Amino acid sequence: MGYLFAVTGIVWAVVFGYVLFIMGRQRKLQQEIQTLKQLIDEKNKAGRK
Amino acid sequence: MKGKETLKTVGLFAALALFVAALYMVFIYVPTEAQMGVVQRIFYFHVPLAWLGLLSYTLVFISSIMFLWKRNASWDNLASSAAEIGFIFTTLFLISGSLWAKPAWGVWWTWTPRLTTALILWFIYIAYLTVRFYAPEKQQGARFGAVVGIVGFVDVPIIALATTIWQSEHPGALIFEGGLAPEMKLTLMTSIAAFTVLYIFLLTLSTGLKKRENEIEELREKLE
Repeated sequence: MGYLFAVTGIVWAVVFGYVLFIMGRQRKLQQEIQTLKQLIDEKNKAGRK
Repeated sequence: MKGKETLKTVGLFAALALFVAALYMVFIYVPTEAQMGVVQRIFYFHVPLAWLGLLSYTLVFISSIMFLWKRNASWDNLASSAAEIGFIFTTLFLISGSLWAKPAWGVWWTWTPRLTTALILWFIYIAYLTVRFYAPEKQQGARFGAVVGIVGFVDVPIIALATTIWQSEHPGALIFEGGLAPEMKLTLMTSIAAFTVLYIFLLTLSTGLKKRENEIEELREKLE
């Protein structure tokens, strides 16, 4: 029974860990995209002046 | 955009619902196998993980061909996402196999054709990811990775046919050969469905991530 619980535990832990990692990374990248878009906007405005 | 987010949420809940059903069936519904006892239930994790490890490399193979042919970044994103998730699932099926082998065969590992070729696939995944990671340029990494993705596929049918071609301790595909009680077949199918929906959900998340990484590169070039 111990082996069965070990397999269940490892599978769930790895899968959840990966999902959390991806979601965290997605949030970070989204923030970076927003920042870069703002910087490009500011650069374009400065260029027009 | 909203539609895609809704689809992702639906996918996540579908995967969770199927997993709850699969866990109920694995731990409560399915009868205990007469010879191996309770530990045999690892089968309902091990087989879906193995199926998806092989399916994933097949996806790497197809996407790699399409990338080299069309030179479209979407195919490269799909290939690298499939490789990352396939590597995770292959690692899990090797670990679950080992944890099953110890009580069933008395050893953590044995060099049977099925196990050996499965381990080779794990190394092929590592080779693919390493080549991409260490390439001096991203495009170069994508091309080299695609070559590994294509050449490495030769291992997949060998793994699938290993128990047919060579007799060993590792059992064959019981689902096709017969020998599974109806409750066991249903539990296995539910588990395969749960893991497959989860895989699709993870693949969608991962390819979305890579699309954002490409977008960031383009935005950085605009800034320079």
